[in-house]
Amino acid sequence: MRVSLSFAFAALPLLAALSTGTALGQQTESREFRAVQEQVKAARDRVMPALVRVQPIVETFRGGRKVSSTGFGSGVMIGPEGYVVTNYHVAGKAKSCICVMSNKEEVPAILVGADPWTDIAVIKLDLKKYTGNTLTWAVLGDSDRVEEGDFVLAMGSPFSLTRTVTFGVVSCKDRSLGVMDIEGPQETGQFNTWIQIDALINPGNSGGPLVNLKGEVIGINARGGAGMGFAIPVNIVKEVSRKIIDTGSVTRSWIGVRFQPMEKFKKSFLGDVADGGVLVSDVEEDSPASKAGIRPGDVIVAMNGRAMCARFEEEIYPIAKMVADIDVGSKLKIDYVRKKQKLTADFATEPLENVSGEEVEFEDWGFTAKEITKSLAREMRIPGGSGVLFTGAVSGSTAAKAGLQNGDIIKEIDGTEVKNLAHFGELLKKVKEGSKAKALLKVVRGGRTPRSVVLEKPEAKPAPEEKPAGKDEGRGKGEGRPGDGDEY
Amino acid sequence: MRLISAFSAVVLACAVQLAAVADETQKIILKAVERHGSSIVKIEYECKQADGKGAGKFAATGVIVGAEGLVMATGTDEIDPPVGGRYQKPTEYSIIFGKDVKAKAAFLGKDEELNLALLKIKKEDPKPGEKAPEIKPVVMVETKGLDLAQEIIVLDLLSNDPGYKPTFSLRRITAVVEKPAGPPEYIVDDSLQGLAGCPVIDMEGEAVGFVAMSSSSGGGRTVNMGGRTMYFPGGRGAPRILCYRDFKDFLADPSKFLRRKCWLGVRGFQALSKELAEQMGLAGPGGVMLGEILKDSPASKAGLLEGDIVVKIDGEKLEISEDKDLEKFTKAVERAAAGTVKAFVVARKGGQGFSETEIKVAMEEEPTREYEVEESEEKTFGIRIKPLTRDFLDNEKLPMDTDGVRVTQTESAGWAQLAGVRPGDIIKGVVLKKVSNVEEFHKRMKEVIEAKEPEVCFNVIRGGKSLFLCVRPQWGGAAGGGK
Repeated sequence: MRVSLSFAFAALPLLAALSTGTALGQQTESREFRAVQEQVKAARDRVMPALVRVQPIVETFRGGRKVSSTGFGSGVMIGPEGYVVTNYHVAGKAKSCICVMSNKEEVPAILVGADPWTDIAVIKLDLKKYTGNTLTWAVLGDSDRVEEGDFVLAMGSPFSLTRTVTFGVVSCKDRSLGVMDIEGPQETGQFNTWIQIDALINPGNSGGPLVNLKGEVIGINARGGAGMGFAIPVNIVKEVSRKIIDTGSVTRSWIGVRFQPMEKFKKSFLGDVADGGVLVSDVEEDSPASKAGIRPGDVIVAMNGRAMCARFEEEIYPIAKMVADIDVGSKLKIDYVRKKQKLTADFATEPLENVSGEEVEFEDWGFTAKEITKSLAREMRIPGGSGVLFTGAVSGSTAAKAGLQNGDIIKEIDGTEVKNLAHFGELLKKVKEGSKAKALLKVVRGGRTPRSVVLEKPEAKPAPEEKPAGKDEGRGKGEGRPGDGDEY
Repeated sequence: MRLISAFSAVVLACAVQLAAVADETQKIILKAVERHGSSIVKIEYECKQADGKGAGKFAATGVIVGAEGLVMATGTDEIDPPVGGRYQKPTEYSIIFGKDVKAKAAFLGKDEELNLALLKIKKEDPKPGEKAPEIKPVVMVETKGLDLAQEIIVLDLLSNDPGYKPTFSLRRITAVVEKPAGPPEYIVDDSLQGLAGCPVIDMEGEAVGFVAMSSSSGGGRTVNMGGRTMYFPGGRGAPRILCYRDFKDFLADPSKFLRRKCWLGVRGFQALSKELAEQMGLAGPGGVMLGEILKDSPASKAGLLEGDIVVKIDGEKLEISEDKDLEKFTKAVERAAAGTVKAFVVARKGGQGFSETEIKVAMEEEPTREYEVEESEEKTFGIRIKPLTRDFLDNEKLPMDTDGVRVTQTESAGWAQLAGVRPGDIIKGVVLKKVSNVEEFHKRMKEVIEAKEPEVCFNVIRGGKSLFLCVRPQWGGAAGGGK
């Protein structure tokens, strides 16, 4: 008891000193806090006027019909011409967009181009229809200068709530998330790491800017969940959006190689033969690398004379990007090690194709079909690769009656091989104009099983009726929202 | 008063009649037990766990169906555990006829479609204190099926605890659902759960059917309809009633059903419908169009081609114009004897349209299936593997000549799991050396363990793509699952 009391008395002066210190500290902290808040507000004021809420009108294909649907996302103006950067998963397939500006005015926009591999799209505002007095665009910063712990603001329209700002820090400047599916078998994230933040990111934030305290855009927010957000570094955004604005698309080289870092493999694969290197984990069939003899397990030590080194996962992306950035068709010299022997391969690159092909509605026939790209054929392991992918039939249509199923690959019509979607359209037209009432289709079901299907010609269409206003079926808030799932 | 007396008389008459009916039903049941009870047996067996660490005891009901000691049961995974499952296949089964009356039996095989299994009682002298069993086969009667509202008795034998006493359940057929192929589905009141392996007796006291487990996919369910509980048989593991006519052929010549099925090696059959025949310029419907001909299969060896239409087998015309009737064709193939040659007449498209040609097909047993192959273990790395089978590669859409082994299990925190190896991966290489099969895998792992390799890299195929997975084993250390 005595001990406790003496401790209590002895503790008194210390407590007094601490409380004085705390009061002093609070004053200092409060000054620093105010300074930070001023910086936050200044950053907000620099970018917020360039912030746009994006409502894309997207054509989707459901139940054998082309239907319009809408969703919501965010974007940021990057120049006086009215260019707005957003995500591919927000507006990459938009027929048109309705944008809400910072002054709450609605301005229409059109899609300039999109790149699923980096999840970036560029739309252009119809500035002739903008009546505001001022037009502000954001300054794009340098994502290479981002550091963990930097204060950041995420701006956008979470759940469609316009002009929202959230605040946090950079949790990781170069997070590796691997290659992800963005739309069916279409992949994204092969060429960049992500800026991980703890500022709240919710559905609708997608496409919005990630801003530093200088008021510079350092990334485009794209994904989030469980208190974590991920933004595409602005240096990637600058490069890709420039290409889209200049040419409408982004072309990349493809060699058909997937890479893995070397950290755990050095001794097994290289021994003392070489240093650094990047491991070839997979080589796609019929790819330039496969034709040049590159195999899984080879270690690439140099490309076009430039030494390659990827010890860790994050170091893979710049290598994949370096390959993609080579002019399509130009030569690539690869120095590699196989079973501790140094070897060399020379070959030309090929263009990287998007996985998802074009989809078309054959309205008269009551069904929809999709192009089978080479990449889709590889992903779905479709032998041969020719034909078109049947994606849906209208109930009661002759295609539905014939028993055609989603996922069927139509390989032949009346004995003629279907080369691609355009050719399929021509063959259908020929059938429709021909004298026979039915066509014999050869399809492959479940990716493997051949089957013959008799398709009746559709009945002649009655004279067109006037369509009532508000034709956009399924149009409504949240319905058919592009970027469902954990893409925000 | 007079009215009340009259009413009482009617009630009394009804009660007497009901009692008479109850007595009648009891008589029928007792007679059924007396007639068939001694043909019902309990089948008891012990299965060792796949990892050899323990064992499980199981019991099922069966019916003696042959004087030579044939016992019919339902072919569940417990009575015939698939290789690679949780349990090993038992080597011996005990057939219990009643208290202290038992015999040993061996498993003969099962028919996958009917899901009926046969065991054969071994002739052995009874042990001291045990009685020799009296083998009394059940006498089955063929009927045209069961009728709506028909009452049936399901006879059973209680297990060891109550002392193997005969028991019964009364059920009524509440609906008969005809199926496009195979036996009809009998929906009954209450449930059939727990009655698999029991004979079905009609109210004449005749054995007319058997409760078997379904082998198709799905599941049985009990539904309350208008206050009544109705049992809908469903898929695998759900009991259903088979009438004697449905398994008569099976009992007449079990060898035909129990032997390994034959296969053609064709992916996809299609009935030649009227529409298809017209569109293809063929004379009429009826026949089976062949899909993809698999490499090295009996069909490819015989020279059958994709698109050929089989119109006759051994001179018998195939009257198949709807896909639901394809079973006739597939059964004819499956039940053929391996080594026999069948004459297929096919309509084949040539320059001048279709013409018929005869092709001799040498029938072969179907290749080993994934669930039939043995699993083996590599304990140091905590990994269980199986060889690659044709059906597995086909399901995975991988080339038939894919080399490697398939991972079935990885031990929690074992070195294989720490490397990132997952069940379903195909291991095709270990530390820069190719492994084509199970033998090569174990040989290579032995070399790796003996050399105490500092980095152990597995080259796997996952989702059709190649990947390298590496672990640095703590040889002799506590970390990881290394032993």
